[in-house]
Amino acid sequence: MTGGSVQRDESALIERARRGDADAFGELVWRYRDTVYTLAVRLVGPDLAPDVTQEALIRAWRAMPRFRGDAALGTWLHRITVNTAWTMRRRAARHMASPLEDSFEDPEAGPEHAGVLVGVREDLRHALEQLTPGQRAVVVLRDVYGWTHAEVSRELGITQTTAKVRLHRARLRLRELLEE
Amino acid sequence: MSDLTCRLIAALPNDMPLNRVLRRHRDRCLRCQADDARVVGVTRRLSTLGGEVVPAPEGLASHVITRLGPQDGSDPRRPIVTRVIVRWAATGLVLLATTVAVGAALAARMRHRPTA
Repeated sequence: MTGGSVQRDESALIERARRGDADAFGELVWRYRDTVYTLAVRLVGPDLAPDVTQEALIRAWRAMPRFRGDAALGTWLHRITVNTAWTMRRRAARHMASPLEDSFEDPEAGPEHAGVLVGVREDLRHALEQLTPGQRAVVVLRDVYGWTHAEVSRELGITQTTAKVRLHRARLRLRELLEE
Repeated sequence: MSDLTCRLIAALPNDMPLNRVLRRHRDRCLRCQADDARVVGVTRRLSTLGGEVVPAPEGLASHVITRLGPQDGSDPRRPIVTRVIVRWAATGLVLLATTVAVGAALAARMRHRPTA
């Protein structure tokens, strides 16, 4: 399948999903689940990432009629994932003792798999986990995914100045951690 | 003094505009340039993660598909919008309360000022 035909195929799937075709959306879920999960892991870590991914994709389904194609579907899903990660992380911090409703049980989760994140460098991953949630979100979106300051501030609900300051502090902290 | 200047520059975001004195220091100071290079190195390492993909757990996609439910066109970013509105409203309330308190204190002082 050529690149052009893949794009037309995806456009057709998106249009069908906007009109309520769950099968079409299911196909999109299969195509984008890994990229959504990857962003979730980098924002909240591997423990919460499956639930964030699940919730983000379900929110995307509910909001599909609003998707106008102004941005690429992947970008739109990323924005929803960032928002979902932010709210679920806060909810998880408040309800540490209670499991999340409809939580996804990863059948391969366990100590032998906990440290294995295929393709993610262990030192960077560990260093990112040492940052505050605010710093981590900003540095992942800006330096890993290349978002602009305006996009980062809009999606996180903060001013651009706050985003820049957090980014700088995150970079300094990462530098300290990686040089240890 | 130079050490203090280096620390001040290091504390500021890289793209924040500096005054002429700080800019000249940064352009000539080897320590500041080395610090900047190390931060750039961190940024470059982070950017290499952009192309990597972590596979989602087995069964997650199927689990999502079984939970789809009805579409309602809801805004998936509503909580962020709500939080921003609440934050601005809270800031406005604090400013209003402060203004009222200062105004009341000034009015009280004017009332009790002894007349000549």
